[in-house]
Amino acid sequence: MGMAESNEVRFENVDKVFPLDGEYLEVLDTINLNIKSGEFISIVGNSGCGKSTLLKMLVGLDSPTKGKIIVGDRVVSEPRADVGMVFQEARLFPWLSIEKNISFGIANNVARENRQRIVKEAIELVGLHGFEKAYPAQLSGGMQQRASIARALVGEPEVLLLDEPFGALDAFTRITMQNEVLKIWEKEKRTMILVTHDIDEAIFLSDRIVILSERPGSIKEIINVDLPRPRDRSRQEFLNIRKKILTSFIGNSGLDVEYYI
Amino acid sequence: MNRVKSFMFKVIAPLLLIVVWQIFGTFGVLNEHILPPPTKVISTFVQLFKSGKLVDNLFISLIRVFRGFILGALAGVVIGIFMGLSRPINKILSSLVSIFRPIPMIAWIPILILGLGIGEESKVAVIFIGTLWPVLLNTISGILSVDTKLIEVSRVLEKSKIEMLIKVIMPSAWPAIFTGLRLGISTAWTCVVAAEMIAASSGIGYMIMYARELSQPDVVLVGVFTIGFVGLLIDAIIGALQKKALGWSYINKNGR
Repeated sequence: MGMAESNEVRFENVDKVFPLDGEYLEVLDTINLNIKSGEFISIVGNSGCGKSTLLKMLVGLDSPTKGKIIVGDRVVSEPRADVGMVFQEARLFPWLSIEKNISFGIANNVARENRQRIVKEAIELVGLHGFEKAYPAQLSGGMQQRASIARALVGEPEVLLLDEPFGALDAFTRITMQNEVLKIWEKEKRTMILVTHDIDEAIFLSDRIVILSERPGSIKEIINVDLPRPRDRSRQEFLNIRKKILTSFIGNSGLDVEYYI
Repeated sequence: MNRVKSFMFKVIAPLLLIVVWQIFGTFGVLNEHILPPPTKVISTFVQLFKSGKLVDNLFISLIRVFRGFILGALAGVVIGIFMGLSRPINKILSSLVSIFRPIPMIAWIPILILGLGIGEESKVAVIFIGTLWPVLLNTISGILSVDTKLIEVSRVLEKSKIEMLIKVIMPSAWPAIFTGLRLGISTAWTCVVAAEMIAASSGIGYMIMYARELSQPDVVLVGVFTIGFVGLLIDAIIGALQKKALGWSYINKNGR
């Protein structure tokens, strides 16, 4: 339990402003958020509300204009292997086989004889058995994304960020991948933070859903999803939460939200 | 079957040219003292080959090419990496590159002979310069072409700068560097002949110039065609090496 406390993620009064053609574009406004160790959080919002920027700053590829982001007892200032990230595109190295792409994610201090075992386990976990020697260009988009997730997992990050990882996949593959991610999260119990524009995906996976307002993005509402997993997407409770999220987006201006779904 | 067909298509034009050339020669349309027929060129080739004269000269030229090429390629790749990685170094050196690069190789030969004499050094130096430019420019563009998204991936995984260079930047740059090497070796081969024609006492270029002085057009033609074939062979070897080393870049989107 002591371990769990130390990997908490905290956003403290985070602002982000981008300079743009001599003007300033306010992207994120006073973000305050605590994420417990092992929690599954989704961040949803309109495109351009700064949700991807939030992840980029948390992983250390970008920095807040004001405020700070803390992982455990470290203020994030540069990328560290304890925070991993899966991007929207698989971003595999085209010159490496799937096996070697995944192996790239392993920290350098891991002994050679262990690396093979780790890669093998990761390949089993994401269901890529038999494709070890294939090159990324020979795999479908969904399989490439599995390899990308495996590469992030073998780095053993305490916190794994997923930036719209299934956005480019077809509906069926997306559902399969959501089940896979859920399986991995339940097995490994890492903190996972997912940015998505798919509301069902957020409800299916998350403990809590953070809804961001339009630009400049600020936290509009945080919705708890207290449903047992695996969640049935057609259950009334599931639909109720979806309605609640949609209401938060569109506003309750006398419109029948169900009609739009 | 398809390969046979594609081979046939490739050889048909040269064969036709040789046939027409032979017919014109036999019927006296061409002046034999300027353009002897293919049969004469072939018999001279066999004679020069047997006497060892052709092989000796070819070997000397090849040695010069490889010495100059290796030095030029090494310098091109190393300087190219620095220019590709560092904006200040790129800024400082790019004006020099823009001034010196457009100068034809032939123009360097007199100054190199003055400085280095008519021995091996001046020829190797010409080839060095000829190889340097294509390798340098392609290395720079290869290094700059690295996908920043892949750099982000390795930053997130906390890889060191050296590791990023070796495992991400260089592999992305290799296809472009290979293109540079291919262009470089063909320039090098052109340069050696030019250098030998101006000042040398051996080599394939020298053989051609000497035969011209003795009015032996058949020997000149043997030399010219040998240059062409050896150039083709070298390019094919580098092409095969490239395919072997960079197999991944030949995989298309549909699988193999």
